Amino acid sequence: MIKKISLTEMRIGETGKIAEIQGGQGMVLRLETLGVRTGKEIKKLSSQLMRGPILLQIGNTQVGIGFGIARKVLVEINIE
Amino acid sequence: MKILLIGNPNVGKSVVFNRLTGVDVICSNYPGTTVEFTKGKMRIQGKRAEVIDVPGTYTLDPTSKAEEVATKMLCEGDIVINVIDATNLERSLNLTLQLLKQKVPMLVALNLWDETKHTGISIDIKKLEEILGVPCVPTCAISGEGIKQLVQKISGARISSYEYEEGNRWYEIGKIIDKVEKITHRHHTFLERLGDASVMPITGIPIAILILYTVFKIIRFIGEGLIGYVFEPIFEKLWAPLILKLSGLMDAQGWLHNILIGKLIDGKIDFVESLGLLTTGLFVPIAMVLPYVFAFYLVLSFLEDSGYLPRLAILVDTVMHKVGLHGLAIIPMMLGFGCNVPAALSTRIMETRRERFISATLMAIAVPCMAQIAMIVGLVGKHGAKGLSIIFGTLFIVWVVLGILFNRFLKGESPEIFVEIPAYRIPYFKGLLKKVWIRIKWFLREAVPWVLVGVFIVNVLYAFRIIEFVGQFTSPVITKVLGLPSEAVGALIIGFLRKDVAVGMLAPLGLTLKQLIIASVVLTMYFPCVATFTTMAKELGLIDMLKSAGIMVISALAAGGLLNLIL
Repeated sequence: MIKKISLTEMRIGETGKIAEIQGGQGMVLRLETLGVRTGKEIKKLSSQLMRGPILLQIGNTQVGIGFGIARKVLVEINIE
Repeated sequence: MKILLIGNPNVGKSVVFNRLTGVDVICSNYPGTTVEFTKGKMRIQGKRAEVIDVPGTYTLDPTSKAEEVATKMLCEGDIVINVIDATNLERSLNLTLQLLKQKVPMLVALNLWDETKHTGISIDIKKLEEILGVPCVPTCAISGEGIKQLVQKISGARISSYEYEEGNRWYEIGKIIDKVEKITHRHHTFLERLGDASVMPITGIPIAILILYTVFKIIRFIGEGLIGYVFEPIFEKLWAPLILKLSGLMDAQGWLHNILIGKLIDGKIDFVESLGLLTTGLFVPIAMVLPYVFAFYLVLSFLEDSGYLPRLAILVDTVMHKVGLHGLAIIPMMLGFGCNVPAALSTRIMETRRERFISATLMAIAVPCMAQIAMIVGLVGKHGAKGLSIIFGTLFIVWVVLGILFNRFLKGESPEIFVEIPAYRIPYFKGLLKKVWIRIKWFLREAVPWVLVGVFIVNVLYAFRIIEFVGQFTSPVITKVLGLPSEAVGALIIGFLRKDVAVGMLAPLGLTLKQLIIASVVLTMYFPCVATFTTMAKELGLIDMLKSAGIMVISALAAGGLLNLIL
């Protein structure tokens, strides 16, 4: 079964595919520059306490994303 | 002919620039090291060319001030060398395709080529060249491989005929990558595992504390060692007898004696208190400050090149939001401990005006530079660690309290962090030493002359009794509010020029520990030195700088006054 959740709800170590970015054009463009865009496979590497930033692996890059943005990035994950 | 080096942040443009021109620039392993363009010259087949190192940008639609600088430069270039990260083809090509549309003669340097090998990436350069329609050269700038080939191909730079629909850019990039890149599976390296551990909260926070503690210990060890075993003996055993002879030749009096050698204390030279150009003027920058500056930059450069700083930024992000910033603001704060001038410049990596104002102001108020720290340690450290901890503790509290106030009362929001975390790299030793040397050279050239000017002006101020005069009408504030003797105003006047000299001026005043603490805190906070002031005025604009300065004066008086009441 495929479920759509936000980056902040993903568990550490979980992989998924970016399905939707709920933000304006400016944010979408900004995220794109570091490879965060719909269709990309990602892996969540870590998250910080108290709504801190989230670290993602996208291809060969690691990207740190603030909690506020991460909440607006929706990811499709596979649950058995 | 103008050649521009353009590319994503942290792909090694500055290293390429250094290889091409021989001009020394600071290169580190975090995005946003270069915030301003640097120019250099090189010769291509006998012709002179100007090379410009442009701050990194991910796109031609700028999102920060450093990126804005990059986009503006573009129309000035005759040839563009697009430096790309060979291990991050997709992201790099995003900018490359945008550049191709600008119709400037261009070539591509695939830098970090050596890293593709152990990351299991293989790129078909021939095919990439064919598709893009411009020369492509693999390089490893840090070791110099491929630079010669790059230079040879500069004259072959071409305007590409590659066409694509703007909306299809990512699709196009995907197509190119499918054709040229192959990725083979590989195992995680030790550095990658360490990379993961240093950003997990459970392991990351202890690692950060351990690293910062080690940094502190190493700086102290090297700094104190150099002072105690090298510089003090040189000055005391070799230089002092020479100067005493010179003093004897001048009969230990006269205005020239005062300016060159200063006051003899009990017939001897006191390198801190004598206040002559050849005594204090040389001793302070070389024997008291330089050892710590060297130690600090050695350690900072190591941290910068390893790639740890962006990870630290992730760890402290939540805290930084409380003061209206985000994690990346840790970079200006760290740089500030070396010198406030490059720190003020580095606030450009912050996205908004509000963040730049907050980070520059907090840095200038609460982060003392290494020159000042060295002097405070030299002066207050004699009374034990307690005084030092009160000084630095107070500055930290000021940083937090002011930051919270800024966050509450300044209009606007603080944007979220969004940053690339580079791979850990073991610093390239030669590159590291070179960077430390660039910074030491900068210190010797920029700081030492100003220290001499400072010491000279101190003599003039004393000779014309200006300090006494100013002391008279500032004494209500200086004595009543801060509890300092009125002569301390001299240090506040000189502090505008050089803070290390200013702290040194406190030495002959015979202050108590409490007064030393208050004076050190006030001297750190009340105003930036002239070099920092001009840089900040340029970065923030004059009006915001004046606002910032007003905040500094008021908060310095408040903090000093409070300490006077509490201690």
